[in-house]
Amino acid sequence: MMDNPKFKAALIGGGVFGVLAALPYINMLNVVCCALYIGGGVLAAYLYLKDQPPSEKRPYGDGALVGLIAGAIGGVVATVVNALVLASGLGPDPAEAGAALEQLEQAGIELPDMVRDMMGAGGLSAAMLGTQLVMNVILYGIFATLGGLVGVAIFHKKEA
Amino acid sequence: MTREDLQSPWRYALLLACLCWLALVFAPPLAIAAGWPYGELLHWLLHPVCHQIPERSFHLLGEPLAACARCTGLYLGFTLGVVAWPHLPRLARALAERPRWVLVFMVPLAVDVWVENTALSRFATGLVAAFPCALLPLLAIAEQTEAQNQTGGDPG
Repeated sequence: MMDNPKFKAALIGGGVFGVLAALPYINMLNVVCCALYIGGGVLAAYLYLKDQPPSEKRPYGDGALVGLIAGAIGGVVATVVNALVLASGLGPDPAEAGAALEQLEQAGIELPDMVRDMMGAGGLSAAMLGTQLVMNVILYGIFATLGGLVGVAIFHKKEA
Repeated sequence: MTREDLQSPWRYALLLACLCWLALVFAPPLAIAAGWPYGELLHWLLHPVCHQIPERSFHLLGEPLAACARCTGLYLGFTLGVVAWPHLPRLARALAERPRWVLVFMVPLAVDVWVENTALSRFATGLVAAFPCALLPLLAIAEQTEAQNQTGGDPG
């Protein structure tokens, strides 16, 4: 499987962006239109096309597939790294998170209750981890598939 | 590329998926207003892909949508694209020949992120950015349909 160029590209693209998406503060880049989710698919498509010969037709199907696999891998990696970050205590300090919430509220920005609870909790449970894994794989899959398509649109080399 | 190329039956599956996604955006305020207990849960489902800050979201029946104005524009633009591209074959052909142009349509959104913006500007730039991107999955579907037709309908 590792010799398969699609899987190799997806593994790197999904792995890199999965780690980035799980790191505190860096994961805020996702606020800009899910940049990290889509970026994983774009990187995977780039890595796949880099080693492909120029062709007349743009391989959108391949791009979508590479993006989808990258998204699934990215979702798993992000969940695992996020769990490790939280378990090792490297995540946001609950006191810091509380202060950030207070600042937002003072600025007149009201966050939804569930987001507030999650920011405040900072803990880790098996149920939460399982839910996060399923959601990450699905959402990363959807957005990275789009990223893979955009990657083909940008990086495909047309036959002269 | 012809109109028929973009009108594969699979386009309707994509459209259905887009409509379901939009329903996730618009359903929570309706559910909360109706007193349905899962309104908050529906709202929470999209939290990994959007900050969901109420001040930056459109409101329906006094409740914020499950996505901010920019994300709502992106999702709506993409869905409109899936509907509209098969009916714009000449434009679709032009964009399919120069697909890097999808990046140009993202420039207003990128600028809007860094300048003082309004809910309307965030929504509009999202709409403009996503509309051309919807052509890409349609091209992927057309490519797969053509490949299947060439192999006599055998998906393998």
